[in-house]
Amino acid sequence: MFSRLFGFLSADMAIDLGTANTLVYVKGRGIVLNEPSVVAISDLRGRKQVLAVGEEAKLMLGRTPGNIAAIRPLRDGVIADFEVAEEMIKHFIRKVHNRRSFASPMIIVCVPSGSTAVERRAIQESAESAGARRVLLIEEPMAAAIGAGLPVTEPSGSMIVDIGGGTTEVAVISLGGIVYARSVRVGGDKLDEAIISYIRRQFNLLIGESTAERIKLEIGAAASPEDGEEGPLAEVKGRDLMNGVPREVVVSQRQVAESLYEPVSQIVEAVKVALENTPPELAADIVDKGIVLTGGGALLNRLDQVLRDATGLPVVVAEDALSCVALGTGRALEDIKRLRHVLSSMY
Amino acid sequence: MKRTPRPDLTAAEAARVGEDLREARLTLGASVEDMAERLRINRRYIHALEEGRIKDLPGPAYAVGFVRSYAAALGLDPDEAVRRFRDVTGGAATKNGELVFPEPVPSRGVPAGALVAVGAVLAVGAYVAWYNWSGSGSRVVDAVPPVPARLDPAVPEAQRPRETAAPGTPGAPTQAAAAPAGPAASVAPAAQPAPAPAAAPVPPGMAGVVLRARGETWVQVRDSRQNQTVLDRVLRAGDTYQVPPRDGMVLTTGKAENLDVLLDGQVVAVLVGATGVRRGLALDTERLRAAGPAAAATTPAAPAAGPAAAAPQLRPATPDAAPRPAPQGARP
Repeated sequence: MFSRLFGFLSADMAIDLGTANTLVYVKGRGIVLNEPSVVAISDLRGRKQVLAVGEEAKLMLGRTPGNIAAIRPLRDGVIADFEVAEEMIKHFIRKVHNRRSFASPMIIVCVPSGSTAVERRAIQESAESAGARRVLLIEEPMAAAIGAGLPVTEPSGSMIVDIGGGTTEVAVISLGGIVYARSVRVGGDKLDEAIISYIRRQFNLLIGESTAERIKLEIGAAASPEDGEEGPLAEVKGRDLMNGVPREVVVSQRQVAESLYEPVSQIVEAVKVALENTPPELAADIVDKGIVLTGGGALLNRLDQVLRDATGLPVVVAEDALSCVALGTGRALEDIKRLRHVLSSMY
Repeated sequence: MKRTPRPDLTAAEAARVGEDLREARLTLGASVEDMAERLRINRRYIHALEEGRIKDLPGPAYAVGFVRSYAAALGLDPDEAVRRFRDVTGGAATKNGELVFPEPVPSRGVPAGALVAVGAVLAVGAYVAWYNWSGSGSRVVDAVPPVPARLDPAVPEAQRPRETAAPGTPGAPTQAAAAPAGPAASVAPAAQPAPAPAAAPVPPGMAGVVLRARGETWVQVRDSRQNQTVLDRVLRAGDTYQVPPRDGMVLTTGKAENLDVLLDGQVVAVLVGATGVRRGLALDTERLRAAGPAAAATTPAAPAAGPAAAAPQLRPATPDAAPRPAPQGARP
């Protein structure tokens, strides 16, 4: 009863602090917030002020005047701008708690498995200074596997590939622990960059990150359509590099797939390396059950097919791939007693 | 999400979802082997899917994934297929399987918590026992400072009225013993070794060291050798206490003027004239004998009482009613 009262005063939170999106799971309420990890900061006569966070700030990305900066405080899954990240977490805490200022929740934050101690500490400290009572960390692939509903505690290997905005995490999990994990700094952002540079090369057209992301979501694919077709088309607007005039071109899915070849093959490579390093018994389990994809990158068309062809294993995309990590982190929050093994703290 | 399937329909429904998948596959003219090759899903699982044997699938998360890819490969709507499959297997079961993390086996024997609890109970018990046994009184008495030397003469002065109140009472042996004033006490040790006790016959039951109260007084007798308290209570006027015949008995009393120490039925001059708190008085037979009988000590101070004192001193040996009336009568 007391715990309920306590929980009422300040709802504990699980945060999937992603490079692209931040999801907040509140104990007993589920995922309550899913917003882009973008903060817009205005500089009023040398005094910095948060102008907007999340969706609103994302609209400003790449469209700001000199006194406003739309910043993505996370890069490659870890904090790149400490203060801005802190502001963002603070904003989300306040939003979740309906401006109840005395709330100091316990927060579980997920960190990439490949992050260094310094990076983890940065995440923990920014969450703490944002007003958390206590901060616990969970490794992203573990959270993703729990969120995807994999039997992580069984003595049987499960392979999870979580393709986020900044990193791709490949992990083999058995008996509630990570047997092997590999993190490559390739994710949604790298896909966008690849599209930008491809279009610049092919069409001499400069496009922004938002446009590239839109193309990726609309017609992006990891492999060209079968039978040499062009696939669906998308209009792309940008600035011509030759004469500096805005221009519009049409790209096809085949072209986008071509542009994504490089980052996709890096993901495939990471999966292959992970498979090579998997102990034989667990490898046998993985042959049977296959690989589960989570994260926004898993929604890239035909990525599962590319991985299937490359590895010869069954590849399935998890249900609700975008929120697997947040769900898994939330699960750890709800069941903190039983899942304390997977949580850690830098102190 | 948490639709629970009707149990009798589950198997049939699952088979129906599987049936649809099989039909779609047959329309495409593909064999299970073809699909297995294409999707890299084990043939076993494809058969299990088509026949609705959910138990044979590797786990809810994988099963749903298999349904999704299989339906997509067959040109069916994957979301629809998954939704139907979910309905069949029960939405809850597909996501929230119990997670039981391997726990280290607790080491055999008594768990630490129980040990701590038992230890705490023992500690409390031991403290209570010690508290009861060693007595709380000693602390109270210790807190009373002994009467300073310069006030010594004043104390008997204060008591004189009581002593003189009943001078003629025949049964007032107590007064006789208490009669010596402060200065007399200092004389007592110096007095000649007792000639009287040898002559006095020892009454039965009064052999050894006996404590007798002339008024209310708190008495504690400790066995210093074994470090235990053998007596710790308030003696009322006329009460006697036979000190166990052991070495190392130590007497502490709160009101020395109300207590007599008797050796073989005779008052010894150790407490005579003492007032207030006396501590650490050894009840050693030899030492008491050396101190001599009270009567001898009193003689110089009250020569007139000499013969009179000797006679009543034997009388209190019978610890019955005889001495009682005196203090009671004396108390106004």
